[in-house]
Amino acid sequence: MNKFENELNKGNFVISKCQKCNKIVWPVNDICDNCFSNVIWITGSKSARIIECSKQKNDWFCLVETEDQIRMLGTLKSDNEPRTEQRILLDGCYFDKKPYFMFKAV
Amino acid sequence: MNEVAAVAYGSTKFSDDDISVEDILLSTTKSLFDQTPNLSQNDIDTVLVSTNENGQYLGPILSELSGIKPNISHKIENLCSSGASSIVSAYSYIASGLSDTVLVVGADRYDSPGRLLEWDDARGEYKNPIFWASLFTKSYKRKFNLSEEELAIVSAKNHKNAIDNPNAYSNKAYTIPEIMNSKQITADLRLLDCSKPCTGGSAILMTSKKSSKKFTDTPVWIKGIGQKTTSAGFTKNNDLTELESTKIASIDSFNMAKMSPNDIDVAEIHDAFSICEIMELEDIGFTKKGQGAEYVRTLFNTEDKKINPRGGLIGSGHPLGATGIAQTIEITQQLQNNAGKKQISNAKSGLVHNMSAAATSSAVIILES
Repeated sequence: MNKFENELNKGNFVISKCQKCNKIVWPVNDICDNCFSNVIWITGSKSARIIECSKQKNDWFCLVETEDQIRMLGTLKSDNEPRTEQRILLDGCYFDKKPYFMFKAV
Repeated sequence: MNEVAAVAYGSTKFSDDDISVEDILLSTTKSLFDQTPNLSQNDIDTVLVSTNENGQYLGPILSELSGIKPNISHKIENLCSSGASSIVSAYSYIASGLSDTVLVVGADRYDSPGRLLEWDDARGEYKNPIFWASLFTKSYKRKFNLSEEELAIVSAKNHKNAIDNPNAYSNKAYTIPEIMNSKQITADLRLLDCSKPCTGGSAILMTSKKSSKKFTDTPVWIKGIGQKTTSAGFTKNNDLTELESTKIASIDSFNMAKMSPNDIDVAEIHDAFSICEIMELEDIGFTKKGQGAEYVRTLFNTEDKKINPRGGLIGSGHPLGATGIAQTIEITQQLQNNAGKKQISNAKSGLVHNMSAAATSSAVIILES
């Protein structure tokens, strides 16, 4: 299990950032995809906006973009139909064979 | 560069059969040999296997099982577009002079590991392709006011076309209401909007111009190739209503062929989900942005089989590693005037579009009789 997965299991959302060129490397990796330098691990922003959303059974699933300008798919708890550009917050995360990201409306 | 032709082919029926990939590869190869009387094992100097199966050394294994001792033999895996990638590799081997006669065989099972891209952690728990397809559909609906009925017409058309394809997984026509009322998978996707991963194999023989004459009087020439990879991860798609890799691959392919979309008489395009066909028609250049659904409705209403005459992936099924090869076989048959009930009248040039993982990569091949 790598740093990203370990931290997810502690409820921490960390992402990789190049220590030389400062680029956020996403999906996470140990080496920068821009300059091939090593990365450092930083806490990712929990603030995000909805790019697009759909629903399976009772769960909304959304493509979101965080303030770090990375995009991911996660579950949104919401009684109302989400809107594109709506502000949301990462409310929880864990890793069980794959990452789970849970968001809530602000 | 040497000219490159498709000269022979073979296929299995697409099914739910629980058989090994090695057996599918061999039965597909047998089908090609059965249909190509002048072909002997000694003619083949390269064997390429297109599959997402994890099995080891499948190129040499198929070669041994088929009694072939090729110079070059290996497996090619590129998710859903493994087939087109293999054909591009075969083209490159022949065009460069490294090979003369290449056997390309694609096969996968209904439970192929290629159905999911496990690497893409940015997809979170939503790794199944139905989720990106749902988001593409929702986004396109929002931007272009696409209706449920317009979406259903894609599936109705392709299931109807598949009736005349003896190797298709589905030989059942569905009405538009049946499709609109099929099982709801997500809020934006129904069961009959989805292609079905299945078991199947397709094989094609490609040769130099000089050798083509031994196997056929009607070789079909590869005139244009375009490939583009924009990323591996779905979340790198900037615009969910546009397939960027398809646009770029199409432009490159048309430039190489010195053709335009108006020159294409028949096309097999990668309708993994209904929304894909609509977007691809626009991004390949067959119609303007936002007019893909209207284009499909006209094809359906006029029973014009120009797009996906074999039934596409939705009608024919989607044995991942075989799909791009099956698409190319269909276009080859069309350009040989040998497509039976599926035949497009007077088809002289055709196009194959095969893509992977939410169009993070695409391949476009243009063929001419």
